[in-house]
Amino acid sequence: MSSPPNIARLYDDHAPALFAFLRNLLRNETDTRDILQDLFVKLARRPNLLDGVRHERGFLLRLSHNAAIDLIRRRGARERNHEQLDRESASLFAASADPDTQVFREKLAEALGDLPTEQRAVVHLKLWENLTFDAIAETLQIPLNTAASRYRYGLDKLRERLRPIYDEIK
Amino acid sequence: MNSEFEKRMQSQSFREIPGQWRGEIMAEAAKWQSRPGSAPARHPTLRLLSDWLWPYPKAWAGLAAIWIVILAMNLADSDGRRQMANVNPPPSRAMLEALKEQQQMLARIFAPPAPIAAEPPKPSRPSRSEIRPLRRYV
Repeated sequence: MSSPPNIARLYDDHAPALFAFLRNLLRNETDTRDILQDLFVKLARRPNLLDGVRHERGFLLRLSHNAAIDLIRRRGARERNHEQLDRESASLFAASADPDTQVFREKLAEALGDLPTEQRAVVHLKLWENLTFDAIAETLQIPLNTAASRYRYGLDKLRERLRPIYDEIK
Repeated sequence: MNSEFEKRMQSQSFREIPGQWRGEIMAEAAKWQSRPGSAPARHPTLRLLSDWLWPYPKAWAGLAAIWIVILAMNLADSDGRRQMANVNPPPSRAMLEALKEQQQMLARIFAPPAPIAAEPPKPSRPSRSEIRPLRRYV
């Protein structure tokens, strides 16, 4: 039996990435914090959870994704308005001193928010976690082709939405 | 190979995780970590099953409930059959003998008939031509 995981080390290594992923999926700061806390409590309660896991980050992203999808389903349509409000009030990306970059980030956050959750998850993992389609398929437990097509559709929509501002600041 | 557009998106950095969360989440995790028996060592199969069931607890609970109902109905049905068998006692010896006798009687009735002995040949009658001349002379 392996030694219990060092929760602080796991947090320092993975929490920033999990925060960005959950924040992008859920569009809600409180829900993101709740899921993140539940995840680390779960790791503390079950020290063997990471036994045999080859890629900690991938495994934690999968747990986070499952929890986020579960929460979204439970919430249902009743709280979609809440999501809309949150989308407008809190920024997904870091603030930038450069006005062009700032505008691009705001538009990108909006465009990402309009993607279906499953496309958003794939786009996030591909672009900001640099995962291969194989790794994305494994993380999200979907077929490889599905991962690739979700990325392509998602990227096409983003390109379409952001074309005017992208051409302007290029 | 990523396009310029993808590279541009990748270069956008996300907002950092709020600093105070670390302390709060670590404190919450520490509560559970220090509890004796809070992390029972489970069999890997159980862990795998738990991870598999965890995302859809309601769906799995519903499926389990359906199976329980089917099992209960199946058990109730087999109990009923057993009760039916108990209600009809085995036939008595006298009844069995009567039945055997009846079968033997039926066998006798429907048995193929014994072959009948061949009838002796009838004496041949004289033909008309033999009889007529006698009449003429009378």
